[in-house]
Amino acid sequence: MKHSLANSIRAAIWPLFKILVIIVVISAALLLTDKISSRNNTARKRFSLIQFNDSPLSDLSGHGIIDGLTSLGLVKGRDYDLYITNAQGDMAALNMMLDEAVNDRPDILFISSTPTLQAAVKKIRALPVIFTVVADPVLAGAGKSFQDHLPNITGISTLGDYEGMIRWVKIILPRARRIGTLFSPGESNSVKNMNVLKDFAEQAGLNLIAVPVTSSQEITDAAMSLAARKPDLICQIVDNLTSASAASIISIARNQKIPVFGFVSDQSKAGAVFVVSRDYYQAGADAARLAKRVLDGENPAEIPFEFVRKTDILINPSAAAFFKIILPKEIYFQKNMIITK
Amino acid sequence: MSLLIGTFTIGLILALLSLGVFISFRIFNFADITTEGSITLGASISASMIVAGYDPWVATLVALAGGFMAGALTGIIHTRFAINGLLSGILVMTALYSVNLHVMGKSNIPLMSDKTIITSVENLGMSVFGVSGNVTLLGSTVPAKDVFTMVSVFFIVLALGFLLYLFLKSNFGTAMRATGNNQQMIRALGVNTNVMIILGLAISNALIALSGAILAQFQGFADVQMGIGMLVLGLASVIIGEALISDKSLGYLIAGAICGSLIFRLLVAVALRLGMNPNDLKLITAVFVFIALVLPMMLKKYKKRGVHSQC
Repeated sequence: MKHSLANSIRAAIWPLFKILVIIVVISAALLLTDKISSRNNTARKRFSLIQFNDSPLSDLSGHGIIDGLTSLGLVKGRDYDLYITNAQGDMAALNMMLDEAVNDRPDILFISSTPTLQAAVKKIRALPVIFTVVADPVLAGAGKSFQDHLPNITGISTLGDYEGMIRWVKIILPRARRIGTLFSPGESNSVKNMNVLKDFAEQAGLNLIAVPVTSSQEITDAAMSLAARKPDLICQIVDNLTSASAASIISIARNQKIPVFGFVSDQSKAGAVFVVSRDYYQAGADAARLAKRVLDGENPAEIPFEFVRKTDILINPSAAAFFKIILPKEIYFQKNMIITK
Repeated sequence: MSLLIGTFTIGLILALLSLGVFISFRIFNFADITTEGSITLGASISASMIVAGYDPWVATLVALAGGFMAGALTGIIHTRFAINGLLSGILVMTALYSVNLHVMGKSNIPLMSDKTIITSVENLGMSVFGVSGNVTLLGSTVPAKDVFTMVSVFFIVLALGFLLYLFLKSNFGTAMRATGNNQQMIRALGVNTNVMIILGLAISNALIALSGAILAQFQGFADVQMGIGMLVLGLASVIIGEALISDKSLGYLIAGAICGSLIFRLLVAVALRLGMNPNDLKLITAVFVFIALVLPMMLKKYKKRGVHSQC
């Protein structure tokens, strides 16, 4: 009786044998490499950087982190190893990358973009986490305020200098009444940026025309429909979607004789008349600076979140001439001013 | 160990997705892209209700109902208006993007300190077994709550897989499967095939929305972009599962879809573990899935040839 029961169980399991063996083998392989992957044997520090998707923003901040560490005297390969992973937009993979970070126990875990920070808030409790490319870390759940936040998490908020931008708009184009932007309702960063710009614009008596766009194929149509509503200028906010297609937005606006003001330094070369850039490269460098403080023994709980330190102003005189915009002299006296040729 | 537990948990949560895709793809023979909208719908309904203070279990059930309606809508568009199944799915998926934004009121809802079904099973497990903090498993220390989460998700998937099996084995379910196989024959037997298709897609998307609801509560946020690429993952899981089982009867196909999801996630984990250039992650995953599918076949061929030469 017992024998036949065992036999029938075996017969029932048999068709699944191959698939179960594969699962067990891969799991065992993962378990066995657990120890190897915690690369504790080197004297070098170990840093991890987890990115959510491939965008100019994550690339720039990644380079900023590496260069920032170098300028603080930490050389890649000599003083530290950096493991970069990128979920390429797959949120399930993002969760697994954070699990791997828990296994790996890096000395510093760098986090780029809002979804990554949110997943880290849920999963990472024991590692020092330093984020960047997050417009609003409080909204993402990393803390109650810039000072009162989760004890292991600190970082750099990359909210653009919208207040400064509106001030400059009033100086450069005092007769402007309507400003326009594309925004991506699917990105919380984008919605936040749009609302902040809207608030500052309304305080200054400007109307904001915000046109939603949900995928990169729609950028051209959305830019045309924005241009058709004849804003006095386009003041393009920052998000992953529009920053990847800024060049096409600028060229469409140019055809319609609408000047573009922007927040990412690259856009100046692409033909934006005026850019107030809290640079993403600089955001990476600032994150590196916070990392150094943590390595030197400071408790992340004691380090408030910061905005990007340096704000640059980039002007493109040939684009300004095209739109017959006369840039006021005071711009040229700004210390942080860069002229794009 | 953390990676393995996390991988199993995600794999099991997404196994519900592959069960849903199994129904539309294997029973009705079309890739129902409503999936990418309904998984996000499940996540956004559950997250916004939890944040509004509803009981997480109620929120999860409502999410499931939301998925059911989305699937039924695809079915109605497909059958009543005679629109191609793929296009019906595209229409509903496209519409759901806006619906999801409206449900959440913004693009992303964090569930940081809110009570979710995940935290309640964690607390239940810890009070029943009287452990808190960390446990030691196979020589490594892991948070006890992660283990409870994995085990409870396992039982949820097991129970739903079994229920799905019973349903598809019933007279009604048999008629539904027959609809996918031979519509004319089953219509001749007096079955309303339209109702079968609508109901089948509704059940499929209910499972997918449930998967999204649990995923959001597990990862701690719902995001309007989380559905992108999910149909492909579900299809991959179903096909991996089907290729690696030797008996293609219903029960094994269901078990295969669940295991397929686990294998897909495990292969992604291996790709991560190898720590290669991050740009190569998807390429490596694709290569691994290819190997997992082809290797058993090659081994079989090799074995056969070996026996043959001995003769």
